[in-house]
Amino acid sequence: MNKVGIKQFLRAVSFLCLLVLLTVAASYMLAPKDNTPEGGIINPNANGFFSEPENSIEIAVLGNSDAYSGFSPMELWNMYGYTSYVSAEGHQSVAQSYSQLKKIMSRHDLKLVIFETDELFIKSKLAETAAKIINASAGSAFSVFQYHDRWKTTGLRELFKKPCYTAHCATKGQWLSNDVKGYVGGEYMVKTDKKASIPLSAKAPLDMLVKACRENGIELLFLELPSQSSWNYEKHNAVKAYADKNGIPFLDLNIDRDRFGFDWSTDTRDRGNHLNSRGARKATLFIGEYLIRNYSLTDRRRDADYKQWHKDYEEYAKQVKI
Amino acid sequence: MIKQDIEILDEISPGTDWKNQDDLLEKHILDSLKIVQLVGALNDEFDISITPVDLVPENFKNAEAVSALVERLSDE
Amino acid sequence: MSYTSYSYLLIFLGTVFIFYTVVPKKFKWAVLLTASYVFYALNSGKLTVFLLLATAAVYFAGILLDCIAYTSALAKKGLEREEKKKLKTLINYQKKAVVVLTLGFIFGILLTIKYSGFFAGIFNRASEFAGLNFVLPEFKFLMPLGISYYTLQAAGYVIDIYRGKYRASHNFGKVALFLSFFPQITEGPIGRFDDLADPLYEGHGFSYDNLTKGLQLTAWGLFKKMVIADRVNLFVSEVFGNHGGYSGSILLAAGALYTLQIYAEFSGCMDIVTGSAQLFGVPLAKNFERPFFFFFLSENWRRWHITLGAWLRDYVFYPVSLSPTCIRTGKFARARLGEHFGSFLPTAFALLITWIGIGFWHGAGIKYLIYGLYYYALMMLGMLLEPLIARGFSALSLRREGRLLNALRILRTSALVIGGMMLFRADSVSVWLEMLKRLFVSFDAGGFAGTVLKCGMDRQDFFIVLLGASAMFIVSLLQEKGIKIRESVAKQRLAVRWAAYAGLIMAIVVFGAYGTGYDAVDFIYGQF
Repeated sequence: MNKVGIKQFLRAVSFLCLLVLLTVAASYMLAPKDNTPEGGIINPNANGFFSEPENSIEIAVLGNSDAYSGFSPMELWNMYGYTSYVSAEGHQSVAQSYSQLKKIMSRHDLKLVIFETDELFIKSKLAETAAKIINASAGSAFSVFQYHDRWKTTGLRELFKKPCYTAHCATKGQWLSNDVKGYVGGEYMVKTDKKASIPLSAKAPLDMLVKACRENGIELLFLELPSQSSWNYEKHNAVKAYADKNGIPFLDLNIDRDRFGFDWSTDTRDRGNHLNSRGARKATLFIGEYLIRNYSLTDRRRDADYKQWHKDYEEYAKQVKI
Repeated sequence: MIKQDIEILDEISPGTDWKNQDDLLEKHILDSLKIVQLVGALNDEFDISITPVDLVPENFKNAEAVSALVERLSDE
Repeated sequence: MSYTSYSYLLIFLGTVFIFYTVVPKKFKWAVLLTASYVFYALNSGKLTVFLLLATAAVYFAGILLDCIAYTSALAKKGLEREEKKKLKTLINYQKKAVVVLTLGFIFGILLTIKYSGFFAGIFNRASEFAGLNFVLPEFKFLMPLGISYYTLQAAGYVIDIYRGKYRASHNFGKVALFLSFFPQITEGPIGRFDDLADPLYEGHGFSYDNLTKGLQLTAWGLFKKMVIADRVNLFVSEVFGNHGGYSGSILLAAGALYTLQIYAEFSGCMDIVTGSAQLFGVPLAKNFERPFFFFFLSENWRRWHITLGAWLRDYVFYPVSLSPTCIRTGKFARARLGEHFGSFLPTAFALLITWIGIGFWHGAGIKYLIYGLYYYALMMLGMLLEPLIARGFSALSLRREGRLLNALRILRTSALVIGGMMLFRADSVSVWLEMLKRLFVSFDAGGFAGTVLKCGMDRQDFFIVLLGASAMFIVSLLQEKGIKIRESVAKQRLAVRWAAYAGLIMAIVVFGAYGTGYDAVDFIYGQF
């Protein structure tokens, strides 16, 4: 490269640096400054962990709607005293799970991540996946692409404010439903040797998620909650193969249904896609049994710092009608 | 020849100073409708046949170009 | 892969640019061709075969035409004048046959894919009406990307060779690249072989100037599309989607905003693709020349979608109006009906064909036919009334210039353009007529302020659109005055320059209508 070339190259690089700086600054300014719905955060329920006391959550549950419908942190707390949070979103992609994991890790010292595997079979755009992973790896420094529209609602003073998280989610991310719409069809877990395939846009971020857990000494558990409409044996085989290869335990409640008295006629809110609060209770208690046998998690029920959790349980219990 | 051309041009678009215009198309003095009119008149007047191939900007950019086109086609 | 997606802008374009820059000059065209076919296949999959078929058809037809011309030139030598003439007739006949067959083939594909359902539908309704029990299947085909654009380019290529404008290319890769070049395949500009093939094929070394200017233009196009067009779309799709519930004043606003949307979007896309092509040193044809605020509809139209207009002018309007039949009719009419009307008649006929072409080109449907005829009728009316109006002005001894008059003309032309655009956007002709009716019978100007902010766009949205559109019009105004924007910015001090570029990019990032709460909006002209 000649002299002019070097000069042009340096100029281009410095301009790009300027752009990155501006993007990061805009991301900081436009990021939601609170995790309440009014604060503008997307999926407030999945982000309630920001306002839990620091390092108070030991278990993070990641996944899509299956996870926030079918896992009950409050039941787990009441029976075993473990503190968990469901950071699940409708149609959460694996890249998004990875991003949520990074956010939780920035506030809590996790011991276990429970990953709900239903979302592994949803294809998403590779470019978007890459963008999400880059943003998550950079500590949401590029969140302006997600939150740019907040210029409409944010005030000038709020732009320069530090985030202050105040939301309180008593169900710890669970979405409660007391509806009962039973599933009456036949058996959907028909044994086969066939294996579904996990698309690259899910597998690549999953690898990163596994690596992030491993590097930070966090245990990882794959979980599949009962879902008649989105699950089958081929998917089970695919997850099993991945789990075995990477030495990750895999709990498929679709197969173990009878072992915890699960009943499709009473435990689903929408004819077999999602669980209702009764189904979630049954599933969570079963998972709790598994956790107590296989992990050394902390029972906080007698810990004075966790008094709020007892109150939250009461609040939760009031809302559960079935 | 060029005088005759200008008479015809005058009929199409009266009141233009044809001799001192260098780009009739750029200035939209001739548009496609006028070009078709002009071609019809030229074909009649000089008994030539200007075809769509000849309808390119170079042949209509000014009065000289038009008469050059007419001359060329009359020779064929 | 949309031109506004990360995949295109960051991954695809970036990768192609790097490859293009590093491979030797000799192979640069191959990089573009490969990239174009990858781009095409990613969008259209198996339908890529149609593009290949059209390419092969015009490539071989071109060579065949060339061979006919060559052998005839050899045979002509040493022939008598009479025999020469005979040979010429024969040759012309052969050449015509090749062209007709080739055009029949490529337009046949286009017609089948795009229009067969429409025509079968008309046939079936007619047959039902006539009490016949005969029903044609109304197929709905998937459209190969850009078929309406590359078919015109392909046809232009064969016709030009037939007319002897240039000789056929014997290089298949060159023809294939001309027809498939990825920036222009989706929605033009419709290129000509003699303008485009060489710059595409010859290979250009790295140019810092082309790189930066290309990226600047791309960013400007993204601004138009994402900040202006996609935000206006919130209002437009709400009102046009529920037109029955809105007063005439809101409908008028929607029509005006749709006109803004389609301009910002189509010209924005042209900026993106022209910028993309500039990265490779390829100049694309100009498709817009600030088509607003003119006195006459014809001027607006001349500056709107220029390459389509030029294509139809060269390959439809000129041949039709210079056809022997047309000329004969003209003479006949002039003799019988007087000079003005007589010379008007053949032009009117040729224009009719042209405008029907423009209408149908946009889509198979009565609506598009009416859209073409709407412009046609208005322009014909203007031409027919011109002597009357001139007489009227001189009778009243009024001047035909003057500020007030010109302002009124601009208003009139804008109203006519908006009227046409409303038809373009409306679901059907009857919906359009219904909307036009409401403009007059229930305008409800008083209720306008109360409803306008409840149609998908809030105060802030309007504010951003106003700012964005003002920026766009100011830039246009400067261009109209002959100022080259990118060059003038480049002359500024570094701080000013960088503020301009970074400001533009950050405006897209922050104020672009994308992500949560916005549906990704497909380019309107990509659907034709």
